[in-house]
Amino acid sequence: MAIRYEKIVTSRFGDPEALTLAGYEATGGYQAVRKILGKMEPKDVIELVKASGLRGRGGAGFPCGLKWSFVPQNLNPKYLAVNGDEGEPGTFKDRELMIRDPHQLIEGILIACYAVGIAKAYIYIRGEFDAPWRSVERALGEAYAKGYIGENILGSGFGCDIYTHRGAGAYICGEETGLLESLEGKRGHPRLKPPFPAVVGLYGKPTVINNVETLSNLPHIVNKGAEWFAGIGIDEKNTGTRMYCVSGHVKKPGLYELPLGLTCEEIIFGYAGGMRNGKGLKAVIPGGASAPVLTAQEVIEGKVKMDFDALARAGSMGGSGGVIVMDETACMVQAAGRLARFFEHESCGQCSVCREGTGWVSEILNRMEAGGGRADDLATLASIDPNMRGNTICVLSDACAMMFGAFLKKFHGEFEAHVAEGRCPLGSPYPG
Amino acid sequence: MALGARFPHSPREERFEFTPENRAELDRILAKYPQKRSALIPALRLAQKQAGHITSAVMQHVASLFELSPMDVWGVVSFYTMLKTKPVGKHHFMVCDNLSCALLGAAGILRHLERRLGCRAGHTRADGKFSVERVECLGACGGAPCLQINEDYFEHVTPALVDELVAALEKGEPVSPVGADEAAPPREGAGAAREKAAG
Repeated sequence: MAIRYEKIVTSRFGDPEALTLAGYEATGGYQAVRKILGKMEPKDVIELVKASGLRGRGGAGFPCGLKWSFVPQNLNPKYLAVNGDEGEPGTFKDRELMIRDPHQLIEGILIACYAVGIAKAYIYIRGEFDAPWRSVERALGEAYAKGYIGENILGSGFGCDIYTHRGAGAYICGEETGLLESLEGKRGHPRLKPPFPAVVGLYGKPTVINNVETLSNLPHIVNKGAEWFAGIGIDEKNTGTRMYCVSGHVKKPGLYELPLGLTCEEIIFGYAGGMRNGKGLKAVIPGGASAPVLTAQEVIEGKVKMDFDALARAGSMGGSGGVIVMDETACMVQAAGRLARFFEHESCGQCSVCREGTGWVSEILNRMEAGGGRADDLATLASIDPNMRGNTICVLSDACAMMFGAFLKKFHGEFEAHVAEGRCPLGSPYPG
Repeated sequence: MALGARFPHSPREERFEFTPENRAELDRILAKYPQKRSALIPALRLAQKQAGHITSAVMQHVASLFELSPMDVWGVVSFYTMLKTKPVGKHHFMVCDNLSCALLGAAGILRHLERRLGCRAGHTRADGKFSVERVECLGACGGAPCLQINEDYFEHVTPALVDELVAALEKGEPVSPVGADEAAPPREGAGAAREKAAG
């Protein structure tokens, strides 16, 4: 079942020397920066990235080169904010990219800054991530000492400073504008859009916000070309690889960098070792907690593919690449209730629809799981769902609605049974 | 987010000031940003490292440094889960029980830890040595169930590992992270090269 493919962003993961500058340079590191700085027009770099088809790996899957091209060239200063606030439940890729190959990220940042004309970049690192911060911080020190960062890099006339900025614990700071607010030293309250950050971002200046994995792809695209990158994947809109973060009831949970276009079934059974303890597959969340759940039938019989557009067609999304696999012992009410509690905890509280909606959904689902389900609960949930979509400043509310809406629709019988029996028919396998 | 969190009033005589060493560190942090306020959260983390937790005296001192009102600072403090307004233990255990960890036994790990320490989640043990907190996704789901002790991550946690960690920490012995953290550079080395380069 396994296919031949090339690893891109995790190609150095087996090499313990990769996180040092010497180790990185020995494996082709900083060649992309040498190739473009002062030798290639910034607008040609943007065109190259557009041609590669690279889409954002943080959640929305927005084309990277297109995002860059929205930045007005005549407004200065401009900023790059690197989103390393990984917090989407089920996702654990940026942490490892920062720990194991920090120079790859730095080189990607330099390429993005050169292309867009940015002289200051901030790497927003999730507050809990100490080891990733240490690794990136040491790499920045090495790169500064060698002249890869700072003024007049490699004599090209282009200068750029890169800094780390550590969060302090808030999922919503992974939302682009929540991140900018947090970086400005405020509560991480997402901003109303438009204006978009590309025009009015950090300190009111044009700002690009890119995910760690997205940026880590750039040195490879520069070195090997847009055509090579676009050749990996399934079609011109789904190019390159993704870091699938597989967790839950599989034999081999972990990170799998695989080309876009494999089926969910191939990833679970071909790479992650299949289901543990001989149990059957029940459900898969394919792109982090915000991505609507897929049933075993959709995965096995429907052969759902794991690229951006196939997942969208299946009514879900590629999101952040977090693949949470659940076997037949898992209770869907409990799973939905657990995620609803997460969204309630992480709602910033600005919009009443989200603040109240996430709380009510969490309360109803967890009461239902505990045996207190009422006859009108399912109708109440169904009536909350549309109100939580499209009515708020950011998409946290929508994410919560998409999450429980899909569980409710696809496992309706299980929800009904909880209410009818006044208990969890599966015996609440994972309390807490 | 801590909705309804209470402002931590300090006794009148309590004072806080950054140590000269931390004040210098704060100056280095301030130099990163074109606007001072961007350093507010790093400054609060630094103050928490020094004082153990964020008191009203800490907020008043930080507010004066940043030319903000203490209420502006409190607005930020109350938003972020890592900024603590109550003392935590010397070894602060954060146990994830989001979905991936829950599926693989996080609830059992938490119960085992609580029993082993004699300390419930949300509390600090009377001797101040340990505290336990139930947290949302730590971003290490491939190593579920996972937990964090102060800065270090521990993945694929079992009751036996919990026993081992607690026994070592009770004796005052250091513990090393388990999982992806193991690949990172050691704590003491981080940042030193950068400072050297910056002169």
